[in-house]
Amino acid sequence: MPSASSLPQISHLATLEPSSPSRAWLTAPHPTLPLLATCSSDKTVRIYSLTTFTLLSTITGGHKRSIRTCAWKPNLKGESVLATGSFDASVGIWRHYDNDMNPKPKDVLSGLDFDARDKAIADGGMGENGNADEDEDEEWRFAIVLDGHESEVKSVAWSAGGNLLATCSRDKSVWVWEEVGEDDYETVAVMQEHEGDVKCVAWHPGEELLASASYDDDVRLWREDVDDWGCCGVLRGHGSTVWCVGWEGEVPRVFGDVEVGREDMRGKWVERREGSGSRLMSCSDDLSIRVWRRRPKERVQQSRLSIIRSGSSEENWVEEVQLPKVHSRPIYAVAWSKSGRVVSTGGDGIVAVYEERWRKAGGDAESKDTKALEDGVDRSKVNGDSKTDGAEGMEGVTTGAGSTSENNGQQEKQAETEEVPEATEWVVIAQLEGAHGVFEVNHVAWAPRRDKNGGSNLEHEELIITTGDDGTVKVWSLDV
Amino acid sequence: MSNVQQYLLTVDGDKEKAQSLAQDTARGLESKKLTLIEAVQSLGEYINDDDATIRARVIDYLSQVIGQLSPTFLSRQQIQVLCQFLCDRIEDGGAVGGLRKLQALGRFNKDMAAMTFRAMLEHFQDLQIRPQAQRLQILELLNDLMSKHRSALKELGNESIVGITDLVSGEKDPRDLMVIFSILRVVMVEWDISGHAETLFDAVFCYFPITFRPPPDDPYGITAQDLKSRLRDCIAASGYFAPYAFPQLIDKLDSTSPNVKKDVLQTITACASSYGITTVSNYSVTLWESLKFEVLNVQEEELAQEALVSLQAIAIRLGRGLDSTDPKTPLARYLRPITKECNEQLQLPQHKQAKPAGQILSALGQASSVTFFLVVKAVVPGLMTLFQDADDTAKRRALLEVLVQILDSAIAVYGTSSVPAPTTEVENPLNPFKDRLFELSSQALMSSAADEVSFRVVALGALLRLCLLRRYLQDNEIGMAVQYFNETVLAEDPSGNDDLKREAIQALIELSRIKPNLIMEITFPAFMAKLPDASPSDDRDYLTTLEGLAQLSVERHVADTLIRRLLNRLDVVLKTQGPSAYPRAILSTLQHVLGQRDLHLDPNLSSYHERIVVGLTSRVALASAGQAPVTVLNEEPTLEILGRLATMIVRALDEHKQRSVALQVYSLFVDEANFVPVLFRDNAPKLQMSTLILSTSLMAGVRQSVSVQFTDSGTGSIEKTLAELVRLASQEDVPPVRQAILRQIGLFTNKFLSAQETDAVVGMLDDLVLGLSEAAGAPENAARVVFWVAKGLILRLARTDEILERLLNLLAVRECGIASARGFGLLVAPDEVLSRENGAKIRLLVKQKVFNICVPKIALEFRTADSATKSNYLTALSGILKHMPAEVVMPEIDRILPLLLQSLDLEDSDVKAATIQTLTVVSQENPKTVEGHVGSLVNRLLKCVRYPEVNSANVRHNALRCLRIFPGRVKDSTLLPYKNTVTRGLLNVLDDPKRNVRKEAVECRAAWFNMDEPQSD
Amino acid sequence: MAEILNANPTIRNASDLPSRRRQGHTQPSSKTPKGLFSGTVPPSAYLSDPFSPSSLSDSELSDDDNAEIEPIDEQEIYDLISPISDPEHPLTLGSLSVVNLPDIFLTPTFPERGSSSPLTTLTVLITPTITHCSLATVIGLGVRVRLEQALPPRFRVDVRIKEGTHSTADQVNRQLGDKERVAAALENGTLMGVLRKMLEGCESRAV
Repeated sequence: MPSASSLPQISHLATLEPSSPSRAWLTAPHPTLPLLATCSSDKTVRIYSLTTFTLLSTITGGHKRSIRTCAWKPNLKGESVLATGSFDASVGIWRHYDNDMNPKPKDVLSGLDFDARDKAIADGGMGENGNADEDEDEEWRFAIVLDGHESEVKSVAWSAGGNLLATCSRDKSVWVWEEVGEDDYETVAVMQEHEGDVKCVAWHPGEELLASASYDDDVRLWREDVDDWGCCGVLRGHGSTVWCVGWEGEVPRVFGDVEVGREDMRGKWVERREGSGSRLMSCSDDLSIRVWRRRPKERVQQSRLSIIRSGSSEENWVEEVQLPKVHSRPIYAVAWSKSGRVVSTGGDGIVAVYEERWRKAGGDAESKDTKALEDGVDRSKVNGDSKTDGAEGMEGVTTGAGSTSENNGQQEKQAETEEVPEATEWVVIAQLEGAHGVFEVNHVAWAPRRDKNGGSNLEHEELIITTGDDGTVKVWSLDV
Repeated sequence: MSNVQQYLLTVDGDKEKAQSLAQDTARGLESKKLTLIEAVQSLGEYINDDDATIRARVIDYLSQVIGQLSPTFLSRQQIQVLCQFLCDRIEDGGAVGGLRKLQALGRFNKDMAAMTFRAMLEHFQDLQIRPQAQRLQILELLNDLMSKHRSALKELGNESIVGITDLVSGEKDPRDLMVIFSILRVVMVEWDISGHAETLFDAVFCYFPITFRPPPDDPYGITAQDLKSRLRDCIAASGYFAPYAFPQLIDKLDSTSPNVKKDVLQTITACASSYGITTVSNYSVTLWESLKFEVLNVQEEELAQEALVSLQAIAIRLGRGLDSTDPKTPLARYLRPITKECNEQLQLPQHKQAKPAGQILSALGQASSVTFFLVVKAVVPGLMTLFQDADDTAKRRALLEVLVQILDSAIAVYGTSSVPAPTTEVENPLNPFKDRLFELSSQALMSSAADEVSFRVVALGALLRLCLLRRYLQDNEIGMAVQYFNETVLAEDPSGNDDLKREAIQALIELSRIKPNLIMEITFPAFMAKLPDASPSDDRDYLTTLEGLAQLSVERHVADTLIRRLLNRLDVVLKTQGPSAYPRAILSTLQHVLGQRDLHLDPNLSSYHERIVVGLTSRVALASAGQAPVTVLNEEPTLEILGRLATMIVRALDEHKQRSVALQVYSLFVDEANFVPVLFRDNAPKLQMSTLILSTSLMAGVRQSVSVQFTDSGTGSIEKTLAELVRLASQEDVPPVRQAILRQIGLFTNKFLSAQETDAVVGMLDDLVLGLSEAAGAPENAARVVFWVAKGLILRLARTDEILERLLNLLAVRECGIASARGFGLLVAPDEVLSRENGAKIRLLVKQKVFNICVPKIALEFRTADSATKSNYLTALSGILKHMPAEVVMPEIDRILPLLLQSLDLEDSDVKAATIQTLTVVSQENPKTVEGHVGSLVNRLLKCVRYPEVNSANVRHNALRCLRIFPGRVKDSTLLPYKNTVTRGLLNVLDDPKRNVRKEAVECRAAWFNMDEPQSD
Repeated sequence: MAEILNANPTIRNASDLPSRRRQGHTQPSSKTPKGLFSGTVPPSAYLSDPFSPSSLSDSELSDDDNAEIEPIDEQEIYDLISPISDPEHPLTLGSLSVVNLPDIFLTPTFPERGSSSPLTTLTVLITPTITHCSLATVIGLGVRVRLEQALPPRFRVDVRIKEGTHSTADQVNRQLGDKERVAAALENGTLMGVLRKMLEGCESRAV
């Protein structure tokens, strides 16, 4: 734990005005532009400026019930596309041409005068609670409805490439849609292995690997094998509904300095991390946040076997660690920032920020973390079997997915712990109570700082965006 | 040109003309100028014209003529001819009308009736394809025949039954149906329909249930209920229908529509009451089997009640004229399965179906003494054992409740000793249980834990019913019950719940009607004994006792004794020290009891006068002058109660006596040696000043014709006294005393001031107003005086306009503006002293007038007023509106609403409260008016519920009530835009520190939540 | 008529249900005699003097206005939910003992922080009339909706089936605990219809 003096503060930067008159569910930061999209139970999406912290326009019509979720399509120039998911069981795709007077993305990043473009986007949307007026309709076009889900849509997510859209619903299914042409989407997969509402979907930052979290307490991983989408991993461990999953950036970051004499440990860690790629984090009604790591397969073996072995896409994922327990009510959201920090929030209105640090010797870490890590190690070892034998590997998947067979555990423990020492630990570096007064906080996200009064290195400063039952969206800066 | 031809020409254009032509022909016939033959022949070729309308008109003409003839003119033969003639052409319009006229004639006989009837059947097979108007006319002809020539049709027997049912089948129009139902009912009741029961039944039952909804402005005024009851009469008309009616009705009981079910149940009741005993008996058990579900699984209380009525109706039918309790009678057979079922239900008395079971037993028990006998015999013994064996109280209470229901039917059957029921041979089956019933209910009441309130309440109910039941308990037993009730009233009760006490008092009151002597002998002494002789320090039990005594004193001589005893007790208490609450309570009790009776006729009036008015008043005066020990009587609150008592008595005195009182208004029945009246004295001691409270009361009671005079310094002039009172009032700072003085001022200016004296007083008022507007420092007292003087005058409508004019001008004055503004609340406010019953002159139109003069002026001045004084106008307005009846305010509402809204922004809680009160009334009486302002209204009211802020809990509470009124009254479309603002705006009030505010907030939110958004899916 | 799941439940007499009055919360007002005489004896005459502003004119409320704070307690919660009517009987949840005073718990959400945090966790355990009552979820939802509409946002409402009183308690609890599902349920017209009917009993006579 960092000493009290160096403890970072989460300080209130702005509350976006005007706010939704009723519960706001989620706020999605635009991938490039300084924009935020907030979806609300008043059946609208509000577009706010991250520069002026004011409402630019309101997307209305199209959905008959609460809009629960929305996501910006990445990798677009000159146009913004937003996908919305609603309790009315439909998914909407909205298009909006960024105005010509738009600065080039470069300028955008360098944070030059945005107001002109803001205006362009806003186009009269400034009006109180942004009642839809005609010209605004011109601005935001309800391009197409994706029907298919039988009940409330709870989450939507675009793949890193932007060509795939994943949606999930209370109907227990996860759908993958592919854009095959202008406003033309085609269902490429309907996956129904979950046994309860699917609460959240999230794409791997690099691969076309999809993670989904569910009311059935499981996290599932999906990818396309040959030309068929299927479940390639079940992450078991949570004791209740998993509300949200979030991916680590491709480049990992561990804070603090490595103690002299433990460098090799860092080496091993980095190596292992390279092997497994981005990790996954999940938060749950069981008040825990868990980190999951992939057990890589021996490349050779895989490449050889993959031709003949069906289901070679099966992956071994293990619970690596649980984050320090902060929350006392369901944890609704967790997010992993570019810089490697993690923020979480939930029904207790607490916003907590965590860092992964190099572990000091002499185990000054909280025993809780240690236990968690050992636990993780324990599991990872079990999957060790898989690389030695295909058949075991198959089983490894399931065991990796939680049902640890203990006897295996005992045998291998020794070797494994040597291979991967307790290199890192997670610590809470900042904590904020009552972020939205007495109201629950439904969502939290990271966004780069874009307002003028921001510090010198704007785009490196990361802001925290919280969305609450009071309908407000609040922007917080983390003063480290 | 012949009349016929002219008729044909004019009938379209000019009905009257046509009429007169027909009349002309009629006169012709009557005066023998032409013969019937000629008349008919004159119809000539038209009668066979190809054009139906021509034929119709000709026939119509003929019918007109017939109608114009005197009833006795036509001979039988002539009628015969015409009847034949019209029957042949019955299809031609007008013929039916003609026949209706003919059949009304005295000489129209059976055969003609039969002929007409047959003609109808023959020609109108296709009735349903004809227009409604024509159908109705035909049906009315049939109806005429039915009523005037019934026997003729009856003799046709089956022919007529079949004929009629065919004729009317398929009818849909409610007007026609009304006629059809009444025609068919006659057939059903009077014809021998044994062979055609099913046909006839189907003919009517096909319309069941009636689902007809009359059009909004239905000119014929036929309601669904009219049709329902006529149809019901048909279905219930003949026992022959039973085989079809009961099964089908029972089927229809499964309907999901409460209305249909209700209709079915009422129809079953109707059938059960009118079909023959044997018939009903055949179906009685089947009916029970299906009816019981409606009661046991009650969904809608109303339906359960209907079902109970049906069950009862069956029992009544089966029991009619029956006085044998023999188990083989149809009645006994009907009751057996019922009592069996109920007994089973009663095994689990605290389960849901036990209560309905009790209701069933009670409903049946009331049907007749025989049913009651059978029910009791079948149920009560088991009930007794169950009760004895019952382990927990909840169970015992449930059982006791059933017993109470049975006792109710006992009272229905045998009556009470005050209202006896028709005598019956059957002896009361409860007699054998008398002792046990009395014992168990007494025990339940007296020997169970004090906090078992609900149980003891039921027990008390049972015991009371036993007492009331005619020829049941002996007087000494009732006496015991009375003792129990006494103890219940007087006992300490830890469970701060006074349900039981209240019930016990009620029981005693009921008994005091039938057994006053018992109350006098037992209750009264017991209660009096409970009254302490000295003020108890803390406990307030005496209140219950006093309340009890007061309520029991309905009987005159009871009351007399009470009053005497209380006065004695008061004397004793006043001799002791202690809190004043007790003596006050005694005085209040006296006030209550005296208030209950007409003192004018009370023989004891003079003694009351002596003891209370003279006695206590002088006592106060003496004490204040140090001539007697000072007691709690000298405390202002006590003086006020004593004052009210005095006013009440003085009012009742005759003029002569009142004169003597008037002389003593200030000297208070004490000679100058011992007490010097406080008027015209400087700084009389506080204790003596407070006697003015009594002076006011005495003065209030004296009627206006008795001029008030003063013993001292012989100054009769009212102005002088008034001036003196003004002086005292302006320097008095003890609120109750000041109030008393101000009221005297009011009494003078309103009641005792003669018309010619008013000018002088108005002049005086001018000076006071002037003084007020120039007054420096706290102007309250000055304002009080001004407005009380004004109030007195305005109420009698003396120079109202100019007075109000002056008062309104005060609003613009910075110094006294606000004080004056508040004064307006006083002008038309009701006052207990300056009241009609005290002979104050209060004109009917006062409020209207004050409103008409002030409101426009205020509305006008407000616009121009400077910011400092603006609020004065709003305050004044709210004060005026506070006591304005809605019908006065409504017409002006549009003008004042904007002001009201602004006054919600003021700090003053009183103004806000008053304004909200007005707004509430307005929104209730006439929501339309606020529709245009909902926006600003909502926002301001939401400001008024904020906490912690200037809003008193009262303001917050009323603001919420006002907000809650809109949904349902104001159109949803107007409110929906604010739904979210309100429901969110109220979030914080849900956390208000005051519970009742929170409660109101919850209800208010619920009301707004429940407004439906136009659902898009 | 629809198939009734529990035709004959035990019912408690209304006057036996816990109420504030029964708990002896009433202290006789010292100003004027209570009960019968409050009518005959108007509060002392000078109390209604328009000239002294914010006088104690509004008798019932403002004598101790703003002084004493009446915190939201279990009884108040009970009063909010006991009048809710059962979906299949015209009876209240209180009289059916579906909700009971002892099964209502108010606890600070962050006990360690004491009064510094206003958050309060309210736990209501409901007891279905029969262990297989498929309406348990609807009843629970009714209770939860009522409380969410009636309580300030600082309350965290947990509605659960009482231990061992229901065969599928866990599923029901999960559903009632799932904020998202509850929110969606409230947007479902038909379901809302049922709930409104249940809640009708809560509103006292319209003003």
